[in-house]
Amino acid sequence: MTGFQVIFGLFCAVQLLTAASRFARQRRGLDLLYAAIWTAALVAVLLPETTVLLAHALGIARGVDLALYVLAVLFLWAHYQHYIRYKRLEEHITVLVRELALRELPANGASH
Amino acid sequence: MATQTSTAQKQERLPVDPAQVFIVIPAYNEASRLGPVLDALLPQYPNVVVIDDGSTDETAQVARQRGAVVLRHVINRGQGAALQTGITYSLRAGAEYIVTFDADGQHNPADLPAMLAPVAAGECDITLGSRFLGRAENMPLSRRLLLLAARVFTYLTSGVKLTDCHNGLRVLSRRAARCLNLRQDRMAHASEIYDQLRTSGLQYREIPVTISYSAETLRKGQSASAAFNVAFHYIFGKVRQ
Repeated sequence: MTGFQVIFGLFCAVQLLTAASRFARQRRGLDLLYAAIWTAALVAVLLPETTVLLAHALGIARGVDLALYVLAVLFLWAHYQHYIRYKRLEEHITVLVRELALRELPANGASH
Repeated sequence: MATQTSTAQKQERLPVDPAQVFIVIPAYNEASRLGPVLDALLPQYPNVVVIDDGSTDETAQVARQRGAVVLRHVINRGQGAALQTGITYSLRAGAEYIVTFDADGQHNPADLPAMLAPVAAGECDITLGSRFLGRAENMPLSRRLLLLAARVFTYLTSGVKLTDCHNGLRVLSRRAARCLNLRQDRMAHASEIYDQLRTSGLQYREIPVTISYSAETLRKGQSASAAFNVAFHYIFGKVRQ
């Protein structure tokens, strides 16, 4: 076992245990998803050949390349999701600020 | 509305009852420039609404002292957000005509009767001020080029052909104001208005107006780098919908 496998394997194992124990306590589906992701990461670290097999099945030469492509796509996707949420949050803040401004001064005794 | 008709002569020039006109002025740290703008408007138009967009200076006090209605954003949300706040307030207060006006003194109140007339006559729902049909005093070349680029951009994205896409002087009928819903908080609201003009089928017309550029107005104007920022917000704002 290489140093890389020890360090990353341990990290993944701790994360897996954390997610699994949280799922055991709270039964949240999200924790199950995290557990699955960390399991996949643990397998990829300890048995690198599995990623090669998967990469070959998809027509990619190296397992590392597969991991890189997956990461790149996930990064862009996550970034976009965050951007959408951020914009929505901004819109909500504006609505709140507007409501506060209008509440402070209710129509000023105008005709309607 | 005590100052409804200040003089018979002014009433004659103005195609509508000034009490039906609400002038919406977004202002962010404009204490030094807002005073003269309000002094020019208030004698003729009793309903002037200043949206203090989270200013850290005396903007709100200046506006209040002169008798304008002041709405305060507790934090800065940008010009688009401030405009929408002013429009919403004006609609609730019973406005028939809503004018958007810049706080920095670049617009001329004398242009308002000509801007209001076609809307009051029912010929269109919105009039947009154009400095290129009218006069632009002391406009630097860089500003001219920037506005040309904005014109091309607006035509490509909104399909609306205008001579001046980033002019803050507009008149909206009550019906038009109710159709608009500005969600672009910052400067991209200008392009957003044109999108909503096209999709809502509202009739618009450009009216020649005079814009005066001074060292004061240019100090806080939009730079070329800011324009890219605006385009970015606009494009990504569209994607999201």
